[in-house]
Amino acid sequence: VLVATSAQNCQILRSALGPRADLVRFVDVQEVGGNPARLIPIWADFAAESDAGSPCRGVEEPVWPGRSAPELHACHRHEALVNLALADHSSLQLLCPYDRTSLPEDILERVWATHPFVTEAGTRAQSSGYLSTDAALVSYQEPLTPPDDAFTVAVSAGPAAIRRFVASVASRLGLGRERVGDTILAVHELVANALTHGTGDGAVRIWTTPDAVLVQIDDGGWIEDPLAGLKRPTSNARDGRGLWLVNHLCDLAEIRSSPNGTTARLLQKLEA
Amino acid sequence: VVELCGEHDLVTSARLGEIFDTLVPSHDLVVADLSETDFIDSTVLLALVQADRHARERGSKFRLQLGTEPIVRKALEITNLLDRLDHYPTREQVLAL
Repeated sequence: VLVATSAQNCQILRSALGPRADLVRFVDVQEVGGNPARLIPIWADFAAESDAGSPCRGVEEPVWPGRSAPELHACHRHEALVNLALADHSSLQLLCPYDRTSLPEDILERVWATHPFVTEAGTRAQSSGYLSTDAALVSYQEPLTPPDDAFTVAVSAGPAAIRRFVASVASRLGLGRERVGDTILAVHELVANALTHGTGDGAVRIWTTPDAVLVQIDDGGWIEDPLAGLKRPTSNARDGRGLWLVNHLCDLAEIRSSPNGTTARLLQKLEA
Repeated sequence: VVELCGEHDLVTSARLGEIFDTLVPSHDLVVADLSETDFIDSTVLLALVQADRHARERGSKFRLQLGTEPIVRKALEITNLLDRLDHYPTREQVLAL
């Protein structure tokens, strides 16, 4: 059994389980899952360990009170993608607790779309609103429109010029040196994708909100695999490192892709 | 020893791959010196992985010399390559038997 929840809830479970807590692995979800994209490889690794042997069980609480709106959006996408990512691991069953006393009703509504079974007040029932991963991903999508006054550069300016652009704008908007470095590499990987596999005619835009720096990369290309960047690259793999880097360098990364094009929006929190 | 100075990305990684392809089959030890490197992307990581695989296949060594640029180390770390590739902090250590 693997439990990914807040440090506080881990502690409560440990005390309740007593000596049996040694049989359970605990992960502080707020530490590793700020960007919920980083949770899928944890479950994939856990399920892969157990696939040969006995069934395994997981508890995941990626949504906690105080999550920002973009984080909640990322959590909803994550919960849809988990169903697809772990479809091959039939030995794993996941339970996702939600704190009804502190989470707003509209967030609880979304739970039905991404969980095939829901238990309420002790009664377990098949979810009436359950959607396929594809349908769940599009069921809750505000358009990703950058503000008009965002700093903008064309993808066709090329990787080196775009790295200079990101370096100068991101540091001016308040990111520290190391976070600027993270952002440069993440944006570069998406630009490289656009130039190699896409149409190369898109744009990179950067702007700031009171608590974060955002970068959006739009391009005409199509990343067909919705799980790209969510699977740990094997040591001999040719591909799969670029988007993996993006997810591990950014506080949030939303990548929406269809035959009509790809929009990637990256978020880096500003230090309070 | 192949010194990668400055920034390396998809523009230079093909050439880098060719250099490793030439050196690895004819040397017992090939070093990629990243101590003066400011930037590497996923295509450079792939060139390093492939050079390492070729060296392992023929029983020779492929090593990295690493500097202090955080994003270079981080790119290797996030993709599990710090565990996979032999790496050393100094030229003396990377060349030691």
